[in-house]
Amino acid sequence: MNQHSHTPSMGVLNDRALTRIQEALESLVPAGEAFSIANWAKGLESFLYKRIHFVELPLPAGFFGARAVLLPVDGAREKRPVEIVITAAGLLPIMREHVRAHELAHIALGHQTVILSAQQFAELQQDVTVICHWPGATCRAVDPERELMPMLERDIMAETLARLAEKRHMELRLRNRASGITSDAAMDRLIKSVIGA
Amino acid sequence: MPPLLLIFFVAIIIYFFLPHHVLSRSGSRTTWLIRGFVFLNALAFWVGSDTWLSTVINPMWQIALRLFLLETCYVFALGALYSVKGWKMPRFVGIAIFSFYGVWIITTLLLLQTKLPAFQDTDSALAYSALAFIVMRIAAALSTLVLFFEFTRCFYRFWTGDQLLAGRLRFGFFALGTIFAFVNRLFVLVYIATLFLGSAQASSIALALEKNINLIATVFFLCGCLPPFVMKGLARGLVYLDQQRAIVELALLRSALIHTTAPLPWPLPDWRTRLQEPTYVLYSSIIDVLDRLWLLESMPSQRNIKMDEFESLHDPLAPDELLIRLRHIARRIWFRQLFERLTTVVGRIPVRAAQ
Repeated sequence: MNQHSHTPSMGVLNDRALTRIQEALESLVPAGEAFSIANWAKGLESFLYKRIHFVELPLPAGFFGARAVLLPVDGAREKRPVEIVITAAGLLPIMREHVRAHELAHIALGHQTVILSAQQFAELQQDVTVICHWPGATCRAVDPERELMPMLERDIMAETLARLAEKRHMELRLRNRASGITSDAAMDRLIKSVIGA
Repeated sequence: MPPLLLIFFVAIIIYFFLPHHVLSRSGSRTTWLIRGFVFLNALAFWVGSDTWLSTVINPMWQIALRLFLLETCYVFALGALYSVKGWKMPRFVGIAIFSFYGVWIITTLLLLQTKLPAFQDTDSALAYSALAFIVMRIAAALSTLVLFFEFTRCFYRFWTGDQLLAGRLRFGFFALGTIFAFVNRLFVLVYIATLFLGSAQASSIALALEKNINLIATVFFLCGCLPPFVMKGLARGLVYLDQQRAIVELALLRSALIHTTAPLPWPLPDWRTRLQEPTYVLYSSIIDVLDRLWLLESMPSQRNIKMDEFESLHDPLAPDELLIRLRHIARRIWFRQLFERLTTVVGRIPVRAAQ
């Protein structure tokens, strides 16, 4: 479906936000068969000069994902800042993929998050759940107490972009399933010889 | 057969034998078996229904020839299916085929020595009750019964084994057609039995039912022969309808969960989006439901619904399997709610009656 022609209703999002989502979808999200979380992350890494690292850790109830930026240490071999994408442990694969897509969407949309030095990160590893409540951190959560509107708008934008990206991929799979004659080349030949197609 | 269906039928047969179709293909074994099936099927149809032919040969011979041609064309069609998939013909099918040909040859030889009556019209030949003729018809009905069982089995294997929707739909049509053809043969046997019993009313009912079932089977076969682009369009239409149904089921599940969990921050798609972008809405619904389920699971104090229903979701499932599992849960919840409502309504009746 042509994304230019109509965008799914996004409720609270304004036109500016919708335009940004469309631009990010078209320019920063791999389309077609190339779509995967790994490819999306790879594309963002080269486009934004960052490294993206996925980790799975236990998060508080209602939190499915979080993101932090780790600044490079002086003299380290890796000069790029590292985006750490945390997904809650024990999620279903489809949810884990979706949470990762949500956090990648934040990165693609240029949303800021908590920036940590190496020392802060080392301290955090004892209790990573602190990130979830850090002011300005991007998290994918369904915590009813989070009522800060700018934060919520960012989350809805990222969620929308993640869903549109996954939808585009799902549509492609469905189209492929409906576009062939049968799964069997011999049966295809038989049908074509009978029907004359 | 109604004239409109007949025109469609004849058009398909002519299309199969257009010179450029015949000449453009060198013809694999399978292709020629299919062509043989179509040719003999058309010939059987003509032999069995042509009134001019009834003036040349006895209508009883028309029926006998038709039975022979039909059996042979079905053998050709089965041969084509076996050839394309590399399957072997099961023994019971071989026995059924050779038994028919054996009986047909013997009864034909017997009928050649019988003085046949002149029939007033072609249909009255069906009521001809000479033993050899009846035996021939029973043999044909039983043999084709076995063949249609085998056809159904083959098409069912194709249907369930195919991942692509157009193929599944086509083989679904064929399998339904062969099921109706199988039932039709049962009614042929019932008709022959009523002839023996001498019940004219019962035999006319059985004959009428047999013809109607045959018509339904023919419609399904013709649907199965639709060109690929039509089948793809139909498959997309079915996917769209199934997506809409899945969205409704997931909305039901979501509304069952919404009372037990915090509201999600993401806005729900409206009805227009649901109609225009069902894939987006379906994916969103899956994620929303899973979000709520996981949230619910992390809040033991708010467990108002049976969590055991959701435990099976923890298995490593592919997205398609997960959707099927969620739809099952939604249906179970719907049935439970319906049952609870019915129980409430039924419980109120005596109170109202007493008032």
